[in-house]
Amino acid sequence: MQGDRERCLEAGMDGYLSKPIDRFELYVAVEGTPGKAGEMAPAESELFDRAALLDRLDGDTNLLEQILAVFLADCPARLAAVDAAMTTRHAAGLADAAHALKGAALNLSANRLADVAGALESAGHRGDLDAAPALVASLHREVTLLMELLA
Amino acid sequence: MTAPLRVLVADDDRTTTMILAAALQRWNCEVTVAADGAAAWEFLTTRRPGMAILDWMMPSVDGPTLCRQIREHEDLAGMYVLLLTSRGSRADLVAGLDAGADDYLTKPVDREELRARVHVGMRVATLQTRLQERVGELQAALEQVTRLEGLLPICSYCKNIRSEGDTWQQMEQYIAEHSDAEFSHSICPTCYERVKLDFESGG
Repeated sequence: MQGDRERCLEAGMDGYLSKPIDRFELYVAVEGTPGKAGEMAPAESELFDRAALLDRLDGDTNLLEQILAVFLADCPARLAAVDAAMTTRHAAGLADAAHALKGAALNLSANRLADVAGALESAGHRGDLDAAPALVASLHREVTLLMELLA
Repeated sequence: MTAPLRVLVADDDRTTTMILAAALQRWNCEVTVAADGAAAWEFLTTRRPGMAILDWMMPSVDGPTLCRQIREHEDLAGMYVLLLTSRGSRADLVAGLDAGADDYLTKPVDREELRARVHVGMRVATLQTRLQERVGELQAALEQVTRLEGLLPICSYCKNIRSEGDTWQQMEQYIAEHSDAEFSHSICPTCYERVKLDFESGG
């Protein structure tokens, strides 16, 4: 619950997790929010696991390029949906928009982006709009890194 | 070679539909993609595919709702339905199966799992199609049987049969009209002897 987080942090805890444990929240709590400013550039395979995707496509490199192109084309609209939900402070909308981005990222084997989107989706489901802005900022950074890598 | 199985893939995420469609086409399926629930329903009711892979969360009509509509629809009730979900929870899976899904797939879809589950679906869909064909054949045969069934008034002398509207028909004409039987004309040995005698006696 919202009040619990503040009380825990005030009492000197470093982090806060609500039960049942959500793997995306756990990831953020332990590893810190991925894509924090000033962090070292992540390895390419962390951003996008090309080998895993190609394996899932039965080695079809042509199809792989088509899927990357579609992902890149759809990404701005998906981010805009996240931003719109954030602006209107619509928690369920935020969860849905983050969910859509997570699904596409998982398909691509863009694992860091999927983790951040998953954490944001969980925050949306919990109605935790205080945790959301930092995750939305991370999401933007992850998408930028990925788009630079794939462009 | 059997005819390719028609499959509908419905998901608003284009990367998902591309991955699924490519795999299904490799397995000789005829794939159609729908980007939302309403378009999916339109295709399901007009083209009646043998299998449908439906995303759980879709604009306009979601996967579980589509499942229920399929099961309530007389002509679609036998369709093989796979629900696509990225929600791993037990309660969701149970809700999906209760809504009428035959099976489910978790996103991102694992290639081997997809192959295995889709082939189960293809087997069931093919059996379902054959079963429907057989039922159709049996129904047609049954209709023929009932048409020739019952009490037929026949003349004891010329063997004509009284037909509808109180007219009398030759037996061969009557049977030809009321069944798939056809006649090829010949002569039996007894009649042959009689005809021969008639000839010889100059008749």
